[in-house]
Amino acid sequence: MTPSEASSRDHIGHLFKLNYAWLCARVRSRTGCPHSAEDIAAETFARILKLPDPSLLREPRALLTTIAQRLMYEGWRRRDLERAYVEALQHVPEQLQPAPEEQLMLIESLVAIDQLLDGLPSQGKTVFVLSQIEGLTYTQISQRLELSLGSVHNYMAQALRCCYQVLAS
Amino acid sequence: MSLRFDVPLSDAIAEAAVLWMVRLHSGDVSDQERQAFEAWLEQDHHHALAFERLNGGLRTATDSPWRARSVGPLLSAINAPNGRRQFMRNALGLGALAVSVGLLGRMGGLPMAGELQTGTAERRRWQLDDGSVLQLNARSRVATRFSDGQRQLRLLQGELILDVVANANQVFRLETAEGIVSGYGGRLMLRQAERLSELTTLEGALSVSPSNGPGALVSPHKRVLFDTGAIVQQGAMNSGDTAWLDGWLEARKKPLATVVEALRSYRPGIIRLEPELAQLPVSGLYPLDNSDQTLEMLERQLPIRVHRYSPYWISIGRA
Repeated sequence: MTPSEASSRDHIGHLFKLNYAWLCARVRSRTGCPHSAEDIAAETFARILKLPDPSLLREPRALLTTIAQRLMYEGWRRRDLERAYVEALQHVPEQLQPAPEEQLMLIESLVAIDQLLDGLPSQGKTVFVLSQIEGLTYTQISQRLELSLGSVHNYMAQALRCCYQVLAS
Repeated sequence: MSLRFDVPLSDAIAEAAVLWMVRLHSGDVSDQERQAFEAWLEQDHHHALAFERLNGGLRTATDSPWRARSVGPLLSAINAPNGRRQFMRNALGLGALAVSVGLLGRMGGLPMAGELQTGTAERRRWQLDDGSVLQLNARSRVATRFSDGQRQLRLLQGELILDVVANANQVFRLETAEGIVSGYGGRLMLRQAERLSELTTLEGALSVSPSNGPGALVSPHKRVLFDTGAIVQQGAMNSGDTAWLDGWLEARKKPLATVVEALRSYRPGIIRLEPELAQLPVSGLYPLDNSDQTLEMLERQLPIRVHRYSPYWISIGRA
């Protein structure tokens, strides 16, 4: 460990001591559950550790709040996605249902794709999935969704801009 | 913060990479466009970097286990309304999230009425209203009509194998862009190529009528190419041509261009082939469902080199 890394560790330790209980209380007031509040607070500090230079943090509580809120949101979204997935699966014939271990992978991938496309309109997400996962051509997509070819192009461009931005952030 | 994606990105190179990517995934890219893209990619290493970055993002989708499954549940889930955030946004005065789920009713892999189709790397089998069995190769599309005592099918794109239920009182007509194939029973393979139809009579005889030319009867086990004016080539069938039914590409001294053309239906993105290599003869048995392996086999076997710019952009040149 270099001296700067060591001092960064010390700084994080200090930050943790000062703010952990405060953050737990704050998250608990939103979620109402002490256990998940501790998990979220711990994960929030883990994210802070990954920042390039945490010792430069001017207003740690503002950043901690932002990260914790994002984690809460991601947790809710994941639960929404799992529920929607399980509901949709009920319409799939039993012999075509994925095995349990495969379902885990499918949900993981579902969450990742949802994050990648977060912020797009519904058609944009649908066009992207039909192109990139189903492997359809734009002509096939335009027929399937009753959209013009121009709209399919536009939705693909929107989806790819979204991907690019997600990578940038 | 709300990002807008319906306006160009402020980074001009990133926006250009996005627009190229949109074109490359369309499913019909002309040779000129491919060349223009290659030129753009080589013009500046920032171009290649931006393109590669975008490609990296797409891996979330292209490496997804969902690729092997019906995407219905995936679409339902990611289009599910986001209750909590909608509430939060409203509370913050940012306006509601536009959530439209109107499209979902049509999802789940159902084609339009009367139309049957397959996507990239997909083969499917259907039983038609008269009992005939239709099998479509990847990236193929047909329209069917079984009404008013007719049995008709139009091949709009790709390749099919049809087992026609014998019925001496009712003709089965298949249309292509170049003409009509008809018969009262038997088994056939039909492929729509560029300005050319290819018919193989696997069982039974069939008649062929180019739109603007004289018709002819084709005996069993023949392979016939016709355009709108006439039958332009006729010979014995290649028995290996039906191997795609089992996921194989069988070649006996086939031009490399034909083999690459078959692979294109099994790979999203583009495969570019140097024109000078188009006529290289290829013989062998290749797995269609593993196009990477097929490309490796071809590379070992022939004096060619496969350049992989990305999973979506492959260029085949001389070794």
